[in-house]
Amino acid sequence: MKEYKYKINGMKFTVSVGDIVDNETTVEVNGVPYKVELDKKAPQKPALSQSGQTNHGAKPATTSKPVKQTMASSPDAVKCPLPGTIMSIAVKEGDTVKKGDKVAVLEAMKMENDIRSDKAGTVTKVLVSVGDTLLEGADIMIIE
Amino acid sequence: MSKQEEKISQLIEKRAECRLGGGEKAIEKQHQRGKYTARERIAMLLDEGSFEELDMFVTHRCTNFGQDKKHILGDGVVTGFGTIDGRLVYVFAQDFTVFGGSLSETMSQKICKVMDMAMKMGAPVIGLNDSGGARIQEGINALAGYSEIFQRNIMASGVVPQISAIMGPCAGGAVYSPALTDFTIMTKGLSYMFLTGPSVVKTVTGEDVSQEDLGGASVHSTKSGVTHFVAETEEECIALIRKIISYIPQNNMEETPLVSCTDPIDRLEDKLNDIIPDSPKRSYDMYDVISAIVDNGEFLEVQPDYARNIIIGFARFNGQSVGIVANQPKVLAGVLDSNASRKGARFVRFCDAFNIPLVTLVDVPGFLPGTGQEYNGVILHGAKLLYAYGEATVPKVTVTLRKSYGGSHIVMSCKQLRGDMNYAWPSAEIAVMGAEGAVGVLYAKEAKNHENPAAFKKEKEEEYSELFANPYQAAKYGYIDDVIEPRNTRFRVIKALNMLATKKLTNPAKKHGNIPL
Repeated sequence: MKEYKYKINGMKFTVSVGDIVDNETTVEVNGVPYKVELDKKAPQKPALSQSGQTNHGAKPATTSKPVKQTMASSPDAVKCPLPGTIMSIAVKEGDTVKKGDKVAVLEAMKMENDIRSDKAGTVTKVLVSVGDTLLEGADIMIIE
Repeated sequence: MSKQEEKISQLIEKRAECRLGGGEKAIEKQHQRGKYTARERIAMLLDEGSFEELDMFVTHRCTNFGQDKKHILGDGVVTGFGTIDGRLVYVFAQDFTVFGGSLSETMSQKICKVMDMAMKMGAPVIGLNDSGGARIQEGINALAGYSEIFQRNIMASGVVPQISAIMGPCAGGAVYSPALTDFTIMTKGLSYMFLTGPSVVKTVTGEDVSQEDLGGASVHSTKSGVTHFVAETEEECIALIRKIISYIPQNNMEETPLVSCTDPIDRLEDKLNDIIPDSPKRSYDMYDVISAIVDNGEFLEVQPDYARNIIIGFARFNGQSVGIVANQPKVLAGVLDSNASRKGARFVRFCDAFNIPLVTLVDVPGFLPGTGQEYNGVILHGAKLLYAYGEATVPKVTVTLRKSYGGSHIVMSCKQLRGDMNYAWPSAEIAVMGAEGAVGVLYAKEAKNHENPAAFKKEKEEEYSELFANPYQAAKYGYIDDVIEPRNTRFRVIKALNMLATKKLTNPAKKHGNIPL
């Protein structure tokens, strides 16, 4: 957080700029937060973790298969309803699905849970593979 | 014409004037919006010709902002009483054609009058809401009016059933009356509820959101759980109110209404004997079980689209209405989480308040783990369900179909929470925890020293499952009263409810408990 103080036309403004993640940051003006998108991507600082959590161990985060985090996700994403492991994926990219079609099976709470599409559309991207461990709310695939 | 005849014709004229509400133009506008008028709604709701209207000639007494020149008979709400299937109910319906249905001091007095009568006579109150909010011209008197209604909602809670239909706007303070009542129904596309509207939201948080996305029927039926039912049309909404009334008693001193039962009470349902999949990882649909055991397969589900991992609703066994609470293994593996616990708890408390027996169908793997749940206070929410079951003095019949583990076993109406009749199917697994977890704890040391820890663990897990993942450990100690054949569930539940009909149990006298809200 960096804080700046301005005086414009006699009005005082206190502006604090938050950490830059990808090309987004939050800017607070007199306590009111705004989301700001930058035109250019900020240079990535390697050690800085994205959502505030530290990497487990010393390995860089790129190699191991970490638990998928909830990302700023697309509204078209099929979301993981509860923490678990992907057992199978029933569709591939390009497939068309109907509302209620089974698109994947998630093992969670020692149960096989069918993941169903909540709308009709085409699978544009599958974001997980079999064996991935997901957290609640993680994106599984995009259906548009 | 004699003087008396003149007076009578004057009365007839006044009545006709009142029945027109805001006038023909306003009525036409209301119809164009796809909405019925307050009187049309009441006519649909009550038995034909049963409605007796009160306070037709009431007008407001506000003089601010030129209000003294604007008076409409009835002042924007139609109140009175009538019958539903021959049973007395009190009704108020806000009339959007009169001052946008806005709430004035006098409107509140009219509503309070029927609520007071309902309390005295012990009959349900049904509110049909369609109002732009407080009548601003009346200032603080409108606020006082709301408060008078809320206070009565609170006093009536648990004494007479209260049902709110939201058939138009319901914003600001107005939302609290429905929130305090037992059941809320919203009509799709025509109604919305929120504390602060889209324009305030925009200035405060910057979010750009439509009325429908902020507080429409779909939002409140799936995301917030504020509404219990969604109706596609106003007709459906009214039919739903009549249906709910058919399951519940007039007040907290009455028994639930009994209807004659045409479905054989000893009907065997062979399909239940193999509804549980052999693999414990496979799910099945709890609705299939419910519809197989209740009278004629009829089930009025409450909050069907919210926290779908738990199912709640009304059904009948041998004509006796009951509240059903069931885990749904098909959704989120049937886990209990914060929302499911709150949904279940409120329903259990409603049933207990109105002498409606509880039938609980259990297949629950546990509480949902994770930071999301813990940060959200799942401990407190889970405790609500626990509290509700433990506090309930109505007959409680529980059938454990399959999983019933750990804390969730306790919460789902276990024997020690004063469960009256606890049955289990042979497929039941009632244990402190699953095999994997238990072996991990019990044999941690031995597994470490073993030459093949994985195989050793697997062997021990199988041993554990064989020994503990069954109903007989619990039955051995009397925690399960009987292990029953699944196809015979209907008959056994009916026999249990029949035996429990005279149950008398009271909690210690107290001002009120302190449920972890």
